[in-house]
Amino acid sequence: MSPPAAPAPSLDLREDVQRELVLATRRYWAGPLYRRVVAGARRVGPVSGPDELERALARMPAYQAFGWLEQHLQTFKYTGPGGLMPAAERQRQVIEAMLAASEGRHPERLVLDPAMRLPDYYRDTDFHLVPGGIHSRSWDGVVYEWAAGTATMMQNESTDVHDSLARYLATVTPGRRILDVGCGFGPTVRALARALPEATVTGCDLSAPVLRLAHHRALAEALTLRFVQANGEDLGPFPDRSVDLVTATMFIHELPPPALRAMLRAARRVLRPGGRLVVLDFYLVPGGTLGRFFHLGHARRNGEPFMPALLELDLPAELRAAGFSAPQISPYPPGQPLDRLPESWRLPWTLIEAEALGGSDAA
Amino acid sequence: MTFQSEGQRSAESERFFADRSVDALMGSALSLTTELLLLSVRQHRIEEAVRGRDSRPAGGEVPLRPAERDWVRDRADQVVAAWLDPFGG
Ligand SMILES: C[S@@+](CC[C@H](N)C(=O)[O-])C[C@H]1O[C@@H](n2cnc3c(N)ncnc32)[C@H](O)[C@@H]1O
Repeated sequence: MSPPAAPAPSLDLREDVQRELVLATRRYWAGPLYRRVVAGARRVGPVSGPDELERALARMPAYQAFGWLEQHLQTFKYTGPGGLMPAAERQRQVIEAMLAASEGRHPERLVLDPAMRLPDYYRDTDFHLVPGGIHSRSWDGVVYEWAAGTATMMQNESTDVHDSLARYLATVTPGRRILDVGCGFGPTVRALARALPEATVTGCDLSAPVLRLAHHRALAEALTLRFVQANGEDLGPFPDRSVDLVTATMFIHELPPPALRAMLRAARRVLRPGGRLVVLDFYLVPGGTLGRFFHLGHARRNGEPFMPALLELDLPAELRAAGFSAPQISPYPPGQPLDRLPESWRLPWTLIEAEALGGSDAA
Repeated sequence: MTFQSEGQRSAESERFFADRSVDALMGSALSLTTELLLLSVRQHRIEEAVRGRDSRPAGGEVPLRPAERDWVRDRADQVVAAWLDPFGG
């Protein structure tokens, strides 16, 4: 018999209505408003790059509205009058009780490290404009989960990225031991556990509150998952050659290049020779200059300081230098065109895959 | 608007959105549109109660129910389009 479920936090009327308003605004923003900016940009004529386009469009009302919303809708969502942060803070006791109840069940599946030193780039950046980040308050995981659908427009896309990725991984994984780096509140690891019931799936992340929620969600779904607080740059708790598949979704764009290089080396270390690395992130930007203009603008307006640097990296070369072979980089889902802009705004999802070299070849 | 929070926000985003009139216009419209949607939901509840489709006390502040979600979503799309059509429609 499982114990009765602890009460869960929820949104009151104002907060829920505000969330619906934010979602509706994002729909309009990603559709008609985006298309109006695209049409305006096409009238500008040839430009040398995204910066020139930016200057040419700076006074265009549709672009001003587009840019303003991209940035301020996020902060409104978190800290506006019906925002997600006050909503979670108001229910902190409910949240703490809920997480503590799950921690009491299967404590061996949640390994936190109270001495974890957060890297400066992580502590000092409000990724996605979440005030104070997602790593310090007990309710941070809940806010992040509430916000996730409105941040990336996934809720407005018909396919669920995590489930579709897990279905794909089920066909390519070279073994049953899977480690997801930067797992957040666990959408990828839960999808993996559903798609691969035989697999041993572990998620790691820097943020303790987010891992506590991931553990709670896994138990609520009766999935056997392990969560470990670890820095993706060293994957310290995980032994050499102990994993068949390393995954990371929406993770590497949050790393400055030196941290990304360290993460690739760490992934190589924990993988067995012949193991696979599969990363889903934002790298191949469709639509030439105009596509880069939108993506770089998104990075700037959405608290993503390291996103632009990722675009500049030669990822196949980085993968080889870290001890991987046969790098493959392709738009996701497969078949998305690279030569033209999408009809509606979307992030440039890219699948990055490589194989861990054999022992003696490894860097 | 004071939505901008501290942290490693680049000066560049300020450069881009320095236009104060746009900031004031969009900020107040966002707040007002949210209030408008909230008022619509409350009014809808009263109407439903008057028509006898809802046994709840009229104007109740109870959280959204699943059955109300589609109505709220459609209404949200309408108020947002009314606000943003001059820019994007
Ligand atoms: C945008 S979220 C993506 C979460 C999840 N993979 C998903 O797809 O929803 C990035 C996650 O990476 C974590 N993270 C950032 N830097 C990290 C690092 N150096 N080591 C481990 N986790 C990190 C953050 O705490 C956050 O949970």
